[in-house]
Amino acid sequence: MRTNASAAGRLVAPGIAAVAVFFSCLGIMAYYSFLPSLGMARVGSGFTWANYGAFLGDPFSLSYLWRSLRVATYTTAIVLLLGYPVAYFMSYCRPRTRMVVSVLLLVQFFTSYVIRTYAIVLVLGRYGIINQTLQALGITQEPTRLLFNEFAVALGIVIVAIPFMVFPIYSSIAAIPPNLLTAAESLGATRSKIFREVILPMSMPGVAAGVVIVYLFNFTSFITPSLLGGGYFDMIANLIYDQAMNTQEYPLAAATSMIALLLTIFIVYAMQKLFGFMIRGTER
Amino acid sequence: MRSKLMPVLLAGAALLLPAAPAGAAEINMMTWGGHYLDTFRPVADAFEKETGHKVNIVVMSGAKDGLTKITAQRNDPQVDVWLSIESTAQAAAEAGLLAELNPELIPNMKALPKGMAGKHSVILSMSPRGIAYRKDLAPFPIKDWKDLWDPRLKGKVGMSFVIDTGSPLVMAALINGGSEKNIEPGFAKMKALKPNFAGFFKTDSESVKFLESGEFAVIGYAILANFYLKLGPDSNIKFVMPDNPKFLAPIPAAVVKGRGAEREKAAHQLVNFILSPPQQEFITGRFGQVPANPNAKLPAALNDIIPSLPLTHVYRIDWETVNKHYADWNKRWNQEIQTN
Repeated sequence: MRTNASAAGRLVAPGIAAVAVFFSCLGIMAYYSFLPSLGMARVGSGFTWANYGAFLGDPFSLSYLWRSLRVATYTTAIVLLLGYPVAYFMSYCRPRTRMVVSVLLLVQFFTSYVIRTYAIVLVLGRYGIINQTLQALGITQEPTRLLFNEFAVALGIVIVAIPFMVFPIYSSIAAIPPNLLTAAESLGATRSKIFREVILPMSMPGVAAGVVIVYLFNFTSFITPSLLGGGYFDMIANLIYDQAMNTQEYPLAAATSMIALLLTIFIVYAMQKLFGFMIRGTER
Repeated sequence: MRSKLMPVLLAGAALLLPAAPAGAAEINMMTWGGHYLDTFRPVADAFEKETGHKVNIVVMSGAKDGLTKITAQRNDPQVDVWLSIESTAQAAAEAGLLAELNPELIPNMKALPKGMAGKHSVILSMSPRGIAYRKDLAPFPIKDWKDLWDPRLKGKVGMSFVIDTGSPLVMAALINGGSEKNIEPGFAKMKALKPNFAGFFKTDSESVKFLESGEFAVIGYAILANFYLKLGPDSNIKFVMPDNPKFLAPIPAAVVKGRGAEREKAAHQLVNFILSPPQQEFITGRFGQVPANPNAKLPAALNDIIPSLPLTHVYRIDWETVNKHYADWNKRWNQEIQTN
């Protein structure tokens, strides 16, 4: 018994250490957020709310937060609308087709984030495929600006996030017992009714997981707005990077990060409540 | 048996290892990656061969990343020699992160012109700044800073505020009757440039990639070292160093404080080694930079790119002033310039 306990302790210890490091980093960040900033790379001692005040009292800084929330909300909705049909298709297609779709998504998933984003530059750029096609067809005379705006950033975020939505939903749909669908069919339910009353409610846990993951992923986007926004459409992660690595106001960067973190925790909590309510509703 | 054999094997293995010279230290030099890493690796190897001191190269993604690293390591420094740019070296010195240089340990400093060596850092080379453009995409040959405002360049200019700590703003101020001490003319001039901006980049590699892909036809304030190896008669990229003002960004080396006397001495020796004419010629020949040591020859290819030496109208930015206002200027830049 004691041997089992010590073996379990040894197995759990690395996990506890990792969690401890994670929370230590958060603790240090929280501590820094209350220190006075003395300018480039210099931090004072003492306690101040000034960094929180500097962020919350500045409409320009807050605009990064609202922009990130807005973009994360509508891109998550788009990813859900695109991802659900793919997950549904994967659940009921032939195994070979499923494998092809899975491989395509996994290749996209495992390709370096930077490479994927640069690939979008090659498509949307002034001399990219779309502009060349438009000009070849005589629709435009000169390259059209498709990059370095909100459209490019949103498109990049959606493309990168799709696998994060598809796989959780696919897992939920694939777990629905086939005899439930057969029973519904034998009772005269149409295909659309089966979808509305059986598949959709039973896939809600997957939808909930996918939405939470994708929302957080999109809200904290850094590389995509950095490369595809061209400086015109930075999001909250870019602002934090700018404060930490460019102007090197570490306490301000820490305060902004803490505000974004608290907001994220609240969003996750609200989403859990909302989806919990929806899932319980479908179970009644 | 096993316990008796092991010490013998370990002793034998120790004999086979190359013996480090007495007093040899192991030091870390932090510099940029990519081409810088490829250049400084052989310099470090040559230094090790000459002195016995081993040099590990630590890569930073930019000078400000380097400053963040040495700031974070303040209580347990991990870097001995740090190459950066003047603005960050100044900020590090003000933050008390750098050791005072000992001129006796860097005899090559004596050969440097006045103003090249400071209390906490010494300039190794000077990196020309100017305009890089695509000959096939720019509608006319660009020669002067003021050409950037030409309406024919509408939507073609890429710029970065962050890479050179706001230097383009200082440039705009200078050509509009101001300076870093009177920055308003710079903001006014940059606002007038807004129609010509195609976008803004944040890293050296982005500037190169976006110029090569044609996303930007012009890099409005370019670092020659990023484009040097891409220039030539067959290249469609051209670099010009406009006159009045000319910008030569000093590349300083500093010794980080708190690494112990032995490592600090080795770090000074490494700085001295880099300042020696053969190393100066090797390094500046790879980057298209002007050697700090006048006894080193200017890279031959550089004669076709920058005006002949001695350069006149070179403007030396007051980084103390820039660093003091940088956060405010950066915010204003994001609000007033970097918007559609």
